[in-house]
Amino acid sequence: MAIMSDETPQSPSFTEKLVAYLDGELPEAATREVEQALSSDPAMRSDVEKLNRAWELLDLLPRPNASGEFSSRTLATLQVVDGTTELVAEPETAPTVALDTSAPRPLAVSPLVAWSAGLVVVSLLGFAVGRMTARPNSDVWLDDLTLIEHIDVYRELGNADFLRDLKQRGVLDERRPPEPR
Amino acid sequence: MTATWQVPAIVRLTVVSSNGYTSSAGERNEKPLERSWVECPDATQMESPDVVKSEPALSQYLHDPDVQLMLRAKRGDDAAFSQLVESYQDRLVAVLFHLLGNQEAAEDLGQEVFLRIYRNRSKYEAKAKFSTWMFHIANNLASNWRRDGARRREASLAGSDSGPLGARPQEQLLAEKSALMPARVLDRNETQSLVRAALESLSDRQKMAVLLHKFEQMSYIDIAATMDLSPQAVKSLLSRARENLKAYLEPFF
Repeated sequence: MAIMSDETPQSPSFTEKLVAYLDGELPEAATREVEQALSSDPAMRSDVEKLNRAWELLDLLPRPNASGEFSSRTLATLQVVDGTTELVAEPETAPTVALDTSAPRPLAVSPLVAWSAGLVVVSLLGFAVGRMTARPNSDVWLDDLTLIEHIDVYRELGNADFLRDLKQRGVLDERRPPEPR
Repeated sequence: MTATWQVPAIVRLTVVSSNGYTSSAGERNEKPLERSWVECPDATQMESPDVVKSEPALSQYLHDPDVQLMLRAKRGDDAAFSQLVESYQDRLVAVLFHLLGNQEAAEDLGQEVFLRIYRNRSKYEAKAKFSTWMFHIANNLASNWRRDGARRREASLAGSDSGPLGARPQEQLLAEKSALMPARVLDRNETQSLVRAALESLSDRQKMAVLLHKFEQMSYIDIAATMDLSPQAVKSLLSRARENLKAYLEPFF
């Protein structure tokens, strides 16, 4: 047979041909040649039968289904990913390991970092509000300008009782004439 | 000798292998194509260099209802994407379960596959079947998972031969026990365990090719696209895988 002329039944290319025949992957002409060879060679027929039997035993392999929550869990993850896609955009030119499961993922923010950041924000806000509501020192000084201008006089007077006494006597009333002695 | 194995005529119109269709077998045929999807700026894009960009090839995939769903998802239709998740979750998890060796990892990685697809939906182009694209992503993620797992095991469990990727101890024991008396009749559970052990005995790439072919009924061309291999490499890979399975299981026939 032409197809088998330079091959032995033990050669890898011969087995490839038989397997391709079993898989229905041989073209029509080659299929016919293999079938002719099989019809005239019982040893080859037995070999093909064993190959076929081993293959059929694979039907016993379990085919476990995905768990009940698989699709809902997957779709929920996709929704989360979709929400963050804009924030975690993949690079335009991904490296050759684009399918690497160890590819960088969005960084998880630790609670400590989150709390620290919150504290800083609150501090800054407090500072800003304080700056906006507090009156400048210059305003306080302007309010007390009259007092400041006469501070030397007030110091000489000593206390307020003395001033009240002077007021009762009318000393401070410049429009009233002084009492006769 | 010239190639005697050929792809179907309809595929020959759209696919040009960079390695050519040589009939010689060997490891060199299993090398990934020089340029692959993984090397594209975005590995989730269908930019196989072996696929000739022609309108007939493109329109061929537009008939795939799942491609239509994905195109709707690309336009922002989340309900269409939910439909895809519902349709493919079991198929994806089943393949990943055998690749990774446990259900939890299979579901985690399955979720990650859908996540990658969803993130890249705006870049999706209908240049292959949806299932081919999805399993291509799954294959890459599973490879990374196994590689990272191997590193972890090297660091923590040097010398141990158990774990999610190795043969399960129970199955290993059964295989060893049964090998001592292959003539005895195995019950269904024992046979199932043996078959699992036989699958575990394959290399990761052989296992993936077998699962895609057996579970997904993928053609050599689609497996090649999924695994970044040439169709000839897939032919060699599956041939060796089936030889190994036969050698493992033959004593129990």
